[in-house]
Order: sequence, then structure tokens, then C-alpha cells
Amino acid sequence: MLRFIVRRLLGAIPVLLGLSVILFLFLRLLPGGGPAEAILGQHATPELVAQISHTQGFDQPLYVQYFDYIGRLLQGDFGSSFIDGRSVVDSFLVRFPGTVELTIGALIFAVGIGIPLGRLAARHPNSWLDGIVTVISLFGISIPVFVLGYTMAFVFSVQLHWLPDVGQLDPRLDIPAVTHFSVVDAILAGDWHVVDALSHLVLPSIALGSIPLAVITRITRASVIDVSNEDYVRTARAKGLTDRRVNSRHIMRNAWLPVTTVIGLQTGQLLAGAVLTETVFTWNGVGSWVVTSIQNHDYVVVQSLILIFAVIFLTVNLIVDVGYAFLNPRIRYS
Amino acid sequence: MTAISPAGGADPGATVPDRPLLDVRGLRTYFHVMDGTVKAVDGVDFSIPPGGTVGLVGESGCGKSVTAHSIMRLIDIPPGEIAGGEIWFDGRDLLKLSDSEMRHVRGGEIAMVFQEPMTSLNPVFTIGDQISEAILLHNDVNKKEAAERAIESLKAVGVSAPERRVKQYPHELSGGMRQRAMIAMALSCNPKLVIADEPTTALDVTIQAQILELIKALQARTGTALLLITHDLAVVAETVQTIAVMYAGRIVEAGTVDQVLLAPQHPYTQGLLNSIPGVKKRGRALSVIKGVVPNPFRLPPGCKFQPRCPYAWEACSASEPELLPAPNGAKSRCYLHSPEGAGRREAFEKSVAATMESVGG
Ligand SMILES: Nc1ncnc2c1ncn2[C@@H]1O[C@H](COP(=O)(O)OP(=O)(O)OP(=O)(O)O)[C@@H](O)[C@H]1O
Ligand code: SF4
Ligand SMILES: [Mg+2]
Repeated sequence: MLRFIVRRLLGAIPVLLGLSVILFLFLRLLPGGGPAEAILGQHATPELVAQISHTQGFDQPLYVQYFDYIGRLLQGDFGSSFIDGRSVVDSFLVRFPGTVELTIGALIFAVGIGIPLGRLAARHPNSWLDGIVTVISLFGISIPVFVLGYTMAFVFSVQLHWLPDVGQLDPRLDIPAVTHFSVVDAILAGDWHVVDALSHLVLPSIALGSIPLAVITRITRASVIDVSNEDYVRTARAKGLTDRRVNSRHIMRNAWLPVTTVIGLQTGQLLAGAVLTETVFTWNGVGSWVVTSIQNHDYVVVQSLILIFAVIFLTVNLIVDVGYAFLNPRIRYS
Repeated sequence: MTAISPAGGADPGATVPDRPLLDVRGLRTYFHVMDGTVKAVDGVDFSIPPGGTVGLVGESGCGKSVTAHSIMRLIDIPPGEIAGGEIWFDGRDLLKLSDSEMRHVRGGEIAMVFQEPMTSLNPVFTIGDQISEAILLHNDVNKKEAAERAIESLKAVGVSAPERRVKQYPHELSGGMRQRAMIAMALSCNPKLVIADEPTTALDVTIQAQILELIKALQARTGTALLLITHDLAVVAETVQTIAVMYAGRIVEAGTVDQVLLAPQHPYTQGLLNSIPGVKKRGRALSVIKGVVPNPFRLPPGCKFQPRCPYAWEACSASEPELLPAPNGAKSRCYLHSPEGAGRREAFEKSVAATMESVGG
């Protein structure tokens, strides 16, 4: 298992190096002049361009710039925003916790409901129950996130006042930002402020989790039905096991395999930021940051974020694959 | 006839002599599918005495597996339906048992070995886990004792280093080894009947012979009754006492191995024998039964073999013959044995003699 992990980590190096080259060239070879013009946009005057080119080292040969770039990356320097001058790493540490919390919330919603729904549908395929589950998941896939988000906010916050509609914490509580994880900060602040943090998470989690919910439901249903038709399930029944045990042990242990993969992929996507959900609920995460950075031509931030997302994606995939290998002896031993 | 045990009381577990262990009567298993109803098994009768061995033979799709699954009540309902018949096993009609009573029979009293050793074991559990699961279920033992019995049962089926094998996963074993593990699993609870559904079909020829030998030896040693399902007459010839030949969901001929293989009474059985590669036929083309297995949705009227039968005449398409005793003591579902068929029987018997000649006895 350790060899497997080490091999995968080594395998990630060329991927990241390749990506760094592409990202580097992407910024240098932008159409409409050099990188300085791109950053300055309409405000570019020859003097400003020359000045930026010099301070950023854009006037150096490409390979010098590249090694310079890699050298800084290796020291953990991902550059700074042209807009507010803050280092990407600092801003990331402030914003990423919000995204992680939202991802966890969405996953709990999607997995917690999707798997039981999928199993239920698989147990009675083509029944009316299966039909209802299909409708729910089609709904989850097809309804635009912002429509779902605004509708829920309107109904549950504006009309019913059950849940807060925007933000991560009630500003009146004045909870100090220690970890930038709103739930953790609320717990640290005591006084049951955690309830406020959790209540802020409910609607965004549902909005963000609706697509993963649909995907997980479908894949669970398909996987359980697939496995149910396997010869070894018949063997298990022929032993005299109860249906319950055949289901929970012989079917589910195998049905989990594709489901884990899908959950992993969904997690990777969620961590890359939920642009729409964060916008609808004015959530302070990386999703909204990506959008504003692109709008502001803040290419250093965009470039670094893509690289960071790649690392997160590779890490999540590795965790998924380790989990998969743990569940599947055919991989574990080969 | 009651067996009196030495203690003086009647032993309820004792098998009554003459009473078959398994008696399948008029079994009908249908599948209701989109295009209509498949009468996969449509009136199957046969019995197995305690400790007896019966071979169920027939071409692919004739309903052998469905018969076996019906006995185990492993048919998915729906789309399946056991539309009629009785399955008497050890004094009870299995079709009338509750689900929980039936679970005790499954794996405990009747065990099954399936055709596909590659896919019939669960890939995510060790061999040992899968064998002890059955032992734990049907015996009053703890996990450790079950694990020990799993090792013993693997040893009994000729698996080398069973202590190591129990910790392995199915994909680490060869096909032959997996089938041995399946057999070990089936025998681990000392069942009264083992149903082996094409246990060697998926294996290499040399392994096939080994597994058959093993089944035969284990059967002789344990005295377990055996229902061996195969499409290969050569396989049953070596392994069982009696044979039931199936065609289109019915038994068309039943008798002892000698009766059925040396003096077949049904044209279908003769056709099957004709397609065995025999000593004297080496180098010559095998004759296969002409025509195809009938479409289950459009079975011919009368005798189901009639479109393919070289001896068929009007009576054969008018009504279906019954399974009746033939002159040699076997049973056959064919009008050749009725008084009206007498004239045609001669031609049939001549042809059978020629078949026996070419098969090489
Ligand atoms: N679940 C099912 N749904 C519909 N039809 C079925 C089902 N199972 C079996 N059948 C039909 O029942 C018939 C008999 O099938 P069965 O599997 O018993 O054949 P078999 O004699 O075991 O053949 P083989 O040698 O190929 O194993 C076939 O026509 C098959 O299509
Ligand atoms: S009943 Fe007629 S058609 Fe059927 S097997 Fe006998 S001779 Fe052939
Ligand atoms: Mg079969």
C-alpha cells in the first residue's frame, strides 16, 4: 500500500510540472501583447507596461522567467494579487476554509440522502418508488443552482425566517476569525454560536449538493442493480443467508466501489469552488474569488489557483484510490 | 415401515427406506417477460433416492438451471413464477416452506455448486470467509471453529496448503482451485443433496476430469445425494447412476445410465448420443441434431421435439406424448412406444443400433 502511494506521488510530479509549463506559457503568450498589457488591460500606457514588465521580470528570457517562477513556487510563493497586493497564499488560507465547509456540507447532504435513495430504488427497480427517485434525481441534475438557491433563500429565509439567507456567520455575534472555518470559530467562541454557523450552512449545502445528490443516487442505483445480478450474489443466497445480509454484505461491499469513485470525483469538483452557490449566498470561498480574479484580469491569482486546484484534485484522487484499493482486494494485491 | 433406533424411539431424522430424498412432481416454472411468458420448466418429474446420483442432461436453454434454481427457490419472483408442482424433499414440500424454513434448507440440507467458478465467489471476501460464513450459519459453532472447519473442508477437496488458501481472495486462485473451493463450501455443512450445475463446463479439459473425479470420490465417501446438471453425456456416463434427459422444459427420457446410454428410447437422446465424439468416429464429422431448439415463445404443438425428429408423423403434432415406461424399463415421452408407433419403431431401433456402433459402446 505504501509503495502504491509513493508511486502515485511520484507520478504526480510530471503532471504538475507539465501544468506549470502550460500555465506559465499561457500568461506569457496571451494575445494582444505581453503579460503586462494583459494585466493592465485598457489602462495600459507604454510607460506602465515597461514598468510592470521590469518589476515582474517579463523582460527576461522565457527560460529564466520559468525557473524563477518554479523556484518561487517551491518556496511556497504563489505570487500576489495585482489588485489588492495580498499574497495568494494568505488569501487562500482565508477563503479555502469556507469552501471546505461548504463541500463537507454538500457531501453530507448528497451522500446521506443519495445512497439510501439509490439503494431503495435498486431494491424495487421499475416500481413507482424507483420512478419517484428518478424524478428527484432528474430534478437535482436539471434545476439551475441559482434558481434552487434563490428559491430556497426566498422561502426559508425571507418568508419563513427559518434559516439565514446569506453569509457564514451572523455579524452581530462578532465571532473572531481564528481558523476561518466558521463552524470551528463558532465553537471556539462558545455560547452555542455553532448553531448559527450550522444554520448558515444548510441552504448553501443543499443548493451545492443537489447535483452530487442526483449523480450519487443514480450511480448507487445502477451499481446495486448491477451487483445484484452477479453470480456470487446467487451463491450467497444459495448458502441460506437472509436477504438483509446478502444486501448489506455481499451486494453493498461490491456496490460501494463505483460509488466511492464518483464521490471522490464530486469532492474534487466541489473543492474547486462553487461559483454560483457562493455568489447566491455571498459565501466567502474560493469560488467567488476565482470569478472576481478573472473579471479583474488578476492573472497571477488565476494561474496560482489553477495550480492549487490541480494539487487538491490529485490529492483527493489519491485518497479515493487508496480507499478504493482498501475496498477492493483485486487492486490491493496487484 | 418405521426404523426403530436401538434406544427404542423412532428416530425422526432417519430416512424412510424407499422414500426418495428429492421428488420433483409436475414442476412448472415460468418467466413473465416483456414479450410474453417463457415456460422454462413445464412439467418436470424426477426423483433422487437418499445417497443417489442423478444426471440432468439437455441442450442449452432446455431448463436445467431453472429446474435447479426452482428446487433451491432461487428464482427471482417476479419475473419468475413457480406456476405449479411439488418439490418433496425429505418429507416436506419445499414450495410450501416459509422463507426462513427454506433458508435452513438452502446451504444446510441442499447445497449448490455453480457453473462459473470465476464469478461465483465474491471478489471482496477471502475464500476462508466465504466458506465459514455458511458453516457459521448452519452450525452451532464459533468463528474460530468455523475457520478451522473451513480449512478442513478445503483439505478434503484436495486443496494444498489450505491454511494459506483461506486467507486468499478468489482472484488469486485458478479456475480449478476456485471450483474446489466452491465444492468445499457446498460440502462444509454436510448437506443431504448437492446440486452441481455444470460444475466443469467452464474449466480446462484436464481440470474437468480432476473435478469430476473429486465429485465422484466425495459423493462416494460422504453418501450425499447428487444432482449433476450437464449438457455433456460423457460427463454423466462416468458419474451418476440414473439420467434424466430434458428437452424444452420437460423430461423426455429417464432411466439408468445403461438404459439411457446403451438403449436410448427417445429420438432426442439418440441425437445427443450421435453428437458425442466416439472412438470409432474419430476423424469423421459428428452428426448434430438437425434444426434448432424451439423458440420458447412459439413451442410447436404436440411433441416439442417433432420439428427436429426424423421419425415424426401426424400423431406427434396432434397431442403431446406422456412420460411413460418404455419396453426396456426406462421412461420415454414418445409415441414410438405407443401401439400406433409400433411400425416406426423398427427403423428407430436400427438407427439406434448404428449409433451405438459408431459411438463405440
Ligand atoms: N430470469 C429469466 N427471465 C426470463 N427467462 C429466463 C430467465 N431465466 C431463464 N430463462 C429462460 O428459461 C429457459 C431455460 O433456461 P436455463 O438457464 O434453465 O437453461 P439451461 O438448460 O440451464 O441451459 P444452459 O446449458 O445454457 O445453462 C431459457 O429459455 C431462458 O431464456
Ligand atoms: S413423439 Fe413423435 S416427434 Fe416426438 S420424439 Fe417421438 S417420434 Fe419424434
Ligand atoms: Mg444452465
